Amino acid sequence: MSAASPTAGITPYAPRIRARRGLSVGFMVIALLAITASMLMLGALIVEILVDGAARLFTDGSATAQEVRGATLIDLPTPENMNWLAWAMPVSILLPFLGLRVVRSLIADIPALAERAIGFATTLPVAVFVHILYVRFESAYYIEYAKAIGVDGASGNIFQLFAEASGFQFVRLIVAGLILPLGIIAAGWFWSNRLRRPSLLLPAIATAAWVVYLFLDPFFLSSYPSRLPAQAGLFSAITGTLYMMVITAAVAFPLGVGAAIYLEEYARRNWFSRMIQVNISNLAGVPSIIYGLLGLQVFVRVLEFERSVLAGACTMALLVMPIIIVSAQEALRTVPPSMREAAYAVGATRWQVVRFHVLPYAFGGMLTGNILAMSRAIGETAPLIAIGALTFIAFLADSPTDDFTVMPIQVFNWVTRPQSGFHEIAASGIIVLMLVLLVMNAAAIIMRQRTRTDW
Amino acid sequence: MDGPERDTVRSLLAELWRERLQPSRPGSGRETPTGKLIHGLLFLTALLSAFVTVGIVLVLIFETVEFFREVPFIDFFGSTKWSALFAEKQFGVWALVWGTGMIALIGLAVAIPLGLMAAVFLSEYSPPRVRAVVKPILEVLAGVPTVVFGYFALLSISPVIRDIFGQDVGIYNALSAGIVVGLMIVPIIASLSEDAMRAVPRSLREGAYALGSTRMEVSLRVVLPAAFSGVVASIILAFSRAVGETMAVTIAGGGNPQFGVGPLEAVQTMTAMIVQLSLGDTPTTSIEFKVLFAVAMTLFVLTLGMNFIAQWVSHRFREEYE
Repeated sequence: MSAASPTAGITPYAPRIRARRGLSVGFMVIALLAITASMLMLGALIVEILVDGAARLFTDGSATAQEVRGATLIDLPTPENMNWLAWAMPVSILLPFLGLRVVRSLIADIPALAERAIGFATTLPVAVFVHILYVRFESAYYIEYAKAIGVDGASGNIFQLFAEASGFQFVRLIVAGLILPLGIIAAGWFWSNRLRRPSLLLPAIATAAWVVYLFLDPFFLSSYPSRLPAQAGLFSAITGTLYMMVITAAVAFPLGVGAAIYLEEYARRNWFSRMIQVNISNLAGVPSIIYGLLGLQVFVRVLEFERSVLAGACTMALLVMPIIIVSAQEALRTVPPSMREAAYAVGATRWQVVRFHVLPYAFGGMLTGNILAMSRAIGETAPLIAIGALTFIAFLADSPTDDFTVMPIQVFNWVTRPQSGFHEIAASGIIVLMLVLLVMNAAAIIMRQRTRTDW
Repeated sequence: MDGPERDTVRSLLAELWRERLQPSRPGSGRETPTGKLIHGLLFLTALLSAFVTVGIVLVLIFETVEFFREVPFIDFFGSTKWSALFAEKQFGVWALVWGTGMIALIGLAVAIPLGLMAAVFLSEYSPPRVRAVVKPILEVLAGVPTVVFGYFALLSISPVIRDIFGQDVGIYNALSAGIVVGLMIVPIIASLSEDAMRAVPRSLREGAYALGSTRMEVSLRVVLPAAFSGVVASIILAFSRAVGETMAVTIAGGGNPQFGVGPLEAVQTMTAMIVQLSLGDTPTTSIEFKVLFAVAMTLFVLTLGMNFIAQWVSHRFREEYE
């Protein structure tokens, strides 16, 4: 008998096993490298934009930068010209929260109402801040307007604004100047109600925003486009984006949610609902520029909206509707059938079931989808170019039928100019645009987590 | 409570049951007039999406037919010369298809390796915590406005390409536009492929591991083939997105509609041509305005066809597991 070991036939394969393991590790390293490389590349590009664009957004503290560019439009509180608000704001935000921390460490169980009141007190300054910011922007416009028509002594204070405002201007003042701050207060109330422990997140965000605001150079955000890069600003584009988004959301959200409710709660599973469903997913894949041509023919020419905010908003609403429908459908599907059956069992009609038993649970998800759709709409450029939104708007839209421009179109216009000065302000514009998108996406993610219900 | 009183209560209850408490089941239920009105309104909103499609098709067909009344079919699809803005007009759409195809293919060449690597890594290698962070970042990346990518292409990538290939390469070239289009569609491929790979049941992986496979072998020989239909569908969708991409290729691609130019030269895509014609003040009766719609029709048919192929692939070749 030879002394053959039982593993004799296997040993030759050990190097192969090692090689296979080595290959596997190598593969993982390559995968990691690929991902890291692409992330690094994007990171480098973002840093480049920040470096290029920051110069125009922030002051270095000296007054000369503004003198070089010419007269500023508005007298915002800057580091040189700091008023009591600059200090009162972060303090008034931080104090209640720190106070709540102290109180909590002393008293184990504070009443729920006290907790709510403190949450309310924290968001109030933020709301006031937003309101002041908005009114300052509005007054800038009115002061310029008064100069242009030759009226002296226009101070741009809030009472004068309301006295002279009319029609769409009035709506704008109410919506942005009052409803926005009120919304923040409501959000703070909701937040403090949901949050069982004091969080520093909100005051931290507010304080950061305030510090940024202190060093922000108001010139870029509050002046109109210009032939000279040093004097060009993003004001008409920011306001144009704002108005367009408000109308787009007002048009697209009800229509999209309605379609989703019909498809999920009413439609029978037949060829018709299948066709609509396939159609919606195909619409989501249609290039955005084709929606622009649709808007050009239907809204601009047939319905005669001209090249207005309204035409742009309607086009955008059609573009984002598939996103809203699909996300609303997903939100409706997360509500378990037992909820509906229970409601039917006690005799609710179909609309009562939808309105009182399904919608309340699905609404958070729907709003999240809406925010995501709006963030898509903010970045879209091509359809608005197709319907003929202008790139040089040296006034504010006073009604939904006025010409307009939006942030990405302004950025596009600056990027395609040969002078490098315009490239710099394009980078500044991109920073503003990306900040808005970041805030919206963060809001959507937070909202998705807060409104999720586990059944 | 007895006698007539009980009868009254009973009849009242019966009445109530008939009138109010009858359950209305989905599809068969009784609805109040208000309910019917709401039902009708909701139906109309659902129908709107169908109208949008019909509207797009009608708008495109109407002007395209007008266009082909003036320009013969063969001049549009049978020629490779495009000069819509010159006195002597030529409308050979292949010059635009060339630019579109080149940029989209460069984009795919960038995006397929990166996207698939990212998908394999996220689905097979990464710990859940990393995945929970990276996946939302990818989705946010997909939402970055395309103008921003145009800025990248023109002012960041183009100079690098000129450093590598020499300064005689133009600042507008197909390569830089293609690279950013690739970066733009990486999230689509990564996210959709990852979904397809995660849908592969665990038992398949465990079986392969039990036979002594390494992680790479499981990823490449078990998971990837099992998720193949989803991966291919994601690539086709990404290609369709690259074809329909507008702003970045308008900014970085240049305006040179020519058939047969190389990747280091300026090209013009179909979408960029539409933007160029839209930016000018084109009278609505002119031939330039009508050709806009003929090009858009070509684009629409192309992307729609690809979306249908993607859907067909993901249904037809789907591996079904219990």
